[in-house]
Amino acid sequence: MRFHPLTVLALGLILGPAAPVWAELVWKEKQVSIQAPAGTQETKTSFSFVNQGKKAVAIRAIKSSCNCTVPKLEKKAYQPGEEGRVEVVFNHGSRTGLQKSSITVLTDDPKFSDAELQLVLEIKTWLQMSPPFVLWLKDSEPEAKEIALRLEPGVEILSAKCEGNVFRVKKAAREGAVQLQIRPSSTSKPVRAPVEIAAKLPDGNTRNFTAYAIVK
Amino acid sequence: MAVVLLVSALAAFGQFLLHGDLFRQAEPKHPNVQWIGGNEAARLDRALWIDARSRELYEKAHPKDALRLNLEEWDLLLPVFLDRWEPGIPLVVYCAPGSCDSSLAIAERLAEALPNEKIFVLKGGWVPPGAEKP
Repeated sequence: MRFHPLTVLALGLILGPAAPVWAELVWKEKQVSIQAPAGTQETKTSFSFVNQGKKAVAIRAIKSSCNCTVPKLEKKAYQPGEEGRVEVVFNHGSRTGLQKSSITVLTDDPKFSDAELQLVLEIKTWLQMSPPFVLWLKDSEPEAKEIALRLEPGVEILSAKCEGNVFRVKKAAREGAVQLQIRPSSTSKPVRAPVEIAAKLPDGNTRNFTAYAIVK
Repeated sequence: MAVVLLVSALAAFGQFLLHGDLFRQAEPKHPNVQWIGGNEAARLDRALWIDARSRELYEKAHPKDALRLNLEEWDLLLPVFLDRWEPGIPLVVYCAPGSCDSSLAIAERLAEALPNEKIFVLKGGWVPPGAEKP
C-alpha cells in the first residue's frame, strides 16, 4: 500500500506532536495526584524526565497556571541520556478541596517544544466556612444568617463569638454539621466585625479561625 | 486530498483528546459568576476590579483602583475588600494570562456570600498596557 506524499507530510506534521514517545525529553509521569492533610501549608512534589534524544535539550522557561505553584529547575541544559526533574511547591493559602495546577515546560526541542504537566491536589482543611462572610444591607430586616462549618473528623468547635453587641452569634448542630447563626442587633449603621471561632484540633491544640459579619 | 483532510481531522481530534484541558474554559459553578471579555468589562459602569494575581505582579502594574484579593493572602485581604465593596457595583476578577484558575476560585468564593451581585471573571486575564499578549 502506497501513501500520497501529502498524506505522509500531514501525518508527520500533525500526529507527531501528539506522540510523546518520540519526544527527546521523556517524562516519567505528566500528572501527579496528592492528598494534602489538614494543617499543612504547602505540598512539594517533582516531575522527572530523561533526555532520550541524540542532542542536548535546553529548557527555556517554565510557566505555571496558578500563582500558588512555584516550579524550580536545577539547571537548564540536559545532555542525551541525562535525567532531571522539575521541583514544584504548591502553596495552599486558603485553598481547600480539589485543586488542579498546570505547569508548562518550554524547551528548544524543535519537534516537541513544550510539555504540559499537571498537579492534582486534594487539600484537606480542619475547618471550612461557607460562606466566608455574611452580609446585611443597611436598613434591611436584621434576620439571622448562617455560616456552615465543615469540620474534619476529630475537630471540635470550642467557641464562636463576636466582640461587642453588634452581632449575636449562636452555635447550632444540625444533621451532623455545625452552623453559626448570626444576627445583627441593628442594621441602621454600616459595620464590619470579625466572628472569632476557636476549634480544638485532634492533636489537642486550639486554633482560631475568622469569619466576618457586615452591615453595608 | 480527501485522505489528507480526513487524516488532519482525525489527528486534530487526537490532539483534542490528548490536550483537551488546553482548550477548556472551566464553567462557573455559581449562577451569578460569568466570564467577561476585556472590551465588555471596560464598558461596565463603576465596576470594582479585583486582582487575583500575586503581590509582585500587582505592584508592577494594575488597572486603576484595582483591589488585591487572592487565595494566598485571603485572611489578610478580605477585610480590605469588605470595606471597599459597595452593593450593586459589579465585580471583575482578573488573573494573569494563563493562570485564570485563581480568579475563578475567588469569584466563586465571593459569590457564596454575595449571591445577588454580578461577579465577572475576565477572559484571558489582564495584560498590562504595552505588554505582549502571550
